[in-house]
Amino acid sequence: MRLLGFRRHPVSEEELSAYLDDRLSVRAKERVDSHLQSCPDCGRRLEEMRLLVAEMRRLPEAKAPRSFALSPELAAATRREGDRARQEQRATARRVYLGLSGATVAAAVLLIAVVSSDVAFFSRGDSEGSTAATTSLGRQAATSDQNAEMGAIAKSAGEGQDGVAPPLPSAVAEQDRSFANATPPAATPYGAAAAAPQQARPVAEGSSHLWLWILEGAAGGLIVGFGASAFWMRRRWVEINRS
Amino acid sequence: MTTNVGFRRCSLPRESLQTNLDAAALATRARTGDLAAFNALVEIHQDVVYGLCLRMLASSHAAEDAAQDVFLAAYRRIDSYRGGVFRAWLLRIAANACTDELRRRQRRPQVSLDDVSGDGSLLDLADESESPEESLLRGELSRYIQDGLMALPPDQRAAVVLCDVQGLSYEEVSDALHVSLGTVKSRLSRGRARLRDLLLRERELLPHPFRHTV
Repeated sequence: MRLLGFRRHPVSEEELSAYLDDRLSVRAKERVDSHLQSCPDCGRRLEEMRLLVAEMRRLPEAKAPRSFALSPELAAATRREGDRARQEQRATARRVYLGLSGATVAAAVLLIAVVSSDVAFFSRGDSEGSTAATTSLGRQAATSDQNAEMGAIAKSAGEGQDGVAPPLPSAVAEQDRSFANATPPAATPYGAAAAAPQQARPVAEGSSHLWLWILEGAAGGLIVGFGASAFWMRRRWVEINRS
Repeated sequence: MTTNVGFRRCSLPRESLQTNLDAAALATRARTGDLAAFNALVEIHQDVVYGLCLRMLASSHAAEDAAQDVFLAAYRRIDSYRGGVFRAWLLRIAANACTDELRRRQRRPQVSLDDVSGDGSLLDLADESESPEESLLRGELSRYIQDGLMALPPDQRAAVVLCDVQGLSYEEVSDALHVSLGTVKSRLSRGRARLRDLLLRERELLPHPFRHTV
């Protein structure tokens, strides 16, 4: 409840604490000063905190129960232990560095392999390009015809909104007819059998390319990641060697 | 209403500055393997390190072990001291050692209970200039404050102990805990506010001279 009440105050506990240590900016200090003039609650809180800090400052200072100075034997043992630990660190850093370097090289080999297969794929695609281009041109023409018809329908629908065009059912009928005109060649069994390989190949090509791009991206990312880690580890190794 | 600011620790006092210069010179020698120089550093700083461990762990046995480990670790890592305030560097090792020990206790709570409740060592901290009665009362208040400190999370406890009990500046606390000045301010204010609320809750139990103050 007190906390809820305190939240209404424009001066936070943190500001009161910093005020106590004279760690507020001049402007913030003036704001706290002026608030304290009119807020006995904050004045009391500040006073309580000030007394608490004063009591903590007066707590008896702890004295070490014995000397923690190191004997020559203990110091030598600690040195040896430290040297051993440093040697282990050095060996670990070297192993990790070599591992990361190897991983970077492996990722680079992967990237080269993927890019080569990508290039090979493209060059094979070019040699088979003439038939594919024809098919694609034909498909583009059919699509543009359909688009033109859809444009006409849209136009007539727009005119219908202006109130001078034919009624909506005729537009729908026209749309149905245009789709019906577009589908017959593919509706025959022969047409379907002929069209299927031509439509399936671009999909297969697209997914292969996607996978190649994903692999290239992944290999590139691995090179950057492993390479940066190897660089950092090398620096660390050099640092340990120097110390 | 109090508008006068009571505590100011913006910069190192002159003697601390001299001590720090001495410590830096000794640390430079210690880095070359001079054990006598390192032991001189131990003598200068062992009270403050032990004090931090004692306030953080609330057990003289645990604090003694921790302080010895701190100096051993400091000796092993003296090469990594790159100048600056030696005390802050040493206290950083100590704060980390205490935090590790507290984590270990959390994993094995029975050790913590034995250490904290079975060890009345903080009552033994007495100021010889006080009368026995004052000493007793202050010891009692000290116990309440220590109980309150133990109720704080370790990060707030370390900030409060270093700043309010041991009198380090915000900058030194920031160096010792390896956090920003803003974080020091925040931890300190939350720790103080919580400690104040804890003590206010037990106002009636406090020793008489302090009952009407805190």
